[in-house]
Amino acid sequence: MGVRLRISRQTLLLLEALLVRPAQWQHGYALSQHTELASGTLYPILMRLEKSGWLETRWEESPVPGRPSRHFYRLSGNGREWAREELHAAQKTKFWKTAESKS
Amino acid sequence: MMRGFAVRSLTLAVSWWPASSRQWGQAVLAEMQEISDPGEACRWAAGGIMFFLRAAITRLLEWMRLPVGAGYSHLAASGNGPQFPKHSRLATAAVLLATAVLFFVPVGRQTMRTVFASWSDFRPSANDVRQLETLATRAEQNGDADDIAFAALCHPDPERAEQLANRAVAMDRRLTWIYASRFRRPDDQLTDEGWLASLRKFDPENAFIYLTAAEPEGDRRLQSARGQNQDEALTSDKKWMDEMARAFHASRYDSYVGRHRRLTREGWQKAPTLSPSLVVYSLWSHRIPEIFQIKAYANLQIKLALQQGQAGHMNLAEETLGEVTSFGERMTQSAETDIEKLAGLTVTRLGLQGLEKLNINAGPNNDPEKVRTRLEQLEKVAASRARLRSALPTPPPDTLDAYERNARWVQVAAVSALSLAILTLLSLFALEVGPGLSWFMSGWKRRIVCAAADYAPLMFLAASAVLLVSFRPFAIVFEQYRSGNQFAADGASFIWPLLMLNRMSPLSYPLEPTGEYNAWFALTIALAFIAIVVIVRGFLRHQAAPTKN
Repeated sequence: MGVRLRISRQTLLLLEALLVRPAQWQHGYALSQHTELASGTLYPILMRLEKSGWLETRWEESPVPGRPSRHFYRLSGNGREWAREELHAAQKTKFWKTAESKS
Repeated sequence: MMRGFAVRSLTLAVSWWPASSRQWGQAVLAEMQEISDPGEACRWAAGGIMFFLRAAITRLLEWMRLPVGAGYSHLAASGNGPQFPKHSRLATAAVLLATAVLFFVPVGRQTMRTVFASWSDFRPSANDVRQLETLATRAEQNGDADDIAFAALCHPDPERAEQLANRAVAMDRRLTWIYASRFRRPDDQLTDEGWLASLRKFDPENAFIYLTAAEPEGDRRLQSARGQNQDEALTSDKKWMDEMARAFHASRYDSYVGRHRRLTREGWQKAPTLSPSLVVYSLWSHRIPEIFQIKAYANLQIKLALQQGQAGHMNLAEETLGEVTSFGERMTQSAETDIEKLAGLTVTRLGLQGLEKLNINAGPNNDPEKVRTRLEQLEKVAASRARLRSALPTPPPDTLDAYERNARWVQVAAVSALSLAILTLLSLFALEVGPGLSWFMSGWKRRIVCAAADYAPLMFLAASAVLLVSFRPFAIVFEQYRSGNQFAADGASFIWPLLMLNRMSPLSYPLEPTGEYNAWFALTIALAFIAIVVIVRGFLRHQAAPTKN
């Protein structure tokens, strides 16, 4: 299951958002909009996931001239598997409801 | 504008971001460009700043977990790197914080103030005066005349003391007596004629007021009569004679020592961390009458009475001598210091001796009964005098030994704590700025510095704890005095421990006539010599070392 992480509710929200389109690179603001997590909560989780090998990151030049490069994220190969395991385990303990089961 | 402020704030945070995670701060900042709504931008920036604070604190904790003097680069270095202390910065900081807490609590502050005061012979310092001014300001705000009077009696600056005294008396006329305490103190010689007038009105039947008024006159006459007959000089001063006569006729004697002690206790009780230097200064500066002038007047009256007796006016002569003995008895009974009691007994004895002489001179008309009565009275006076051995009653020998032992512990612990504090600061400073002081970056000097950084803080904490524990008996004495405990009410039990502390002070370097040096003096010289040798040797080695490329 990869490097042990403290899997909080906010981390599960983020993992679920990243699993929606696991191969696609997503930027921080989009993830924040999807998960409704503030930047002060979101980025420490992203940093922790990246340090533990769950996340891949890259910088991408902005298409608009003069704007700084943006940081993009997606789950690594192992990260996708671990994320699914965590979400599944959380569902079993009724701690977590997936987006489908909520609607 | 809000959006611009948010962007600038986050940009500033990114510039201060710890290098190890700065790219994440840049990532947060980069997203700001995509947020158009100002409110949303502010929320995003606030989140980014919270993230920055977390990163900075994490980095700081990581740094604190390293040994003193170590940077992050040293973690990756091989075993050939410079030596570092065993304890982390966090452990060292915790020990130093614990020590600081010891000295922050009231008993710790009182301990420090008392010990430092003992090193300067309990002379009020600038810091003591600042404390007093704070007390006076607070008292003025609260309308507390007693505290202003207390400040007036403790203040070492005569001008300021005068202002405070006048203010206190203006607020409460019952405090007029404080003028008598401050009038013509040996150290400041404040002479306010208005004060004397106020005192006469305040306490017209108190002999002490008239003695106070007579003294300046008497001093002037005696100074100008050097080498001449002093009795004539004094007798010729009508003002002095009048004032002394009023004093000897007054129905009461009160030098206000008791009121002063009470005021001091109450004032100190309200401000227990006030330096004892101020309290000692206040009590020891309290005026008592000029004993020489009292005896001089008594002798003049006795001479006059004997002349009256020779002229056949026995009743008048006995009345004159009776005034002298009555005054002496009033002074003995009412005085609250032993030196005044002693003076009163002396005057009583002089008067009784005069009566005895008068009766003897009366010849065949001499009444043996009267003579016997006089002799019995004289013996009682002699016995009373024998009981008053000194102006400051000495405690029993075992009590004095206990004071001396405690004082020695306090001073040794204080000097140890101070030395260890300096050693701690120097070793920590040397390690943190070590790269700039290459001459001791290696070898035995660095080992010593690392050992000091490891153990000096702990020893400093231990010495500080010992200091506070050994000061406890003194704190109890102070508390007893402040609470008006009968045991300590006379002030002697409060003064003696302080005298012992002062005697054990490391800054007392008495050179006895026999050539005996104080142990502290020898220790200080030895430590200074060692320090000079180490520093000079290190400097010379540094100068001689080849420059490394």
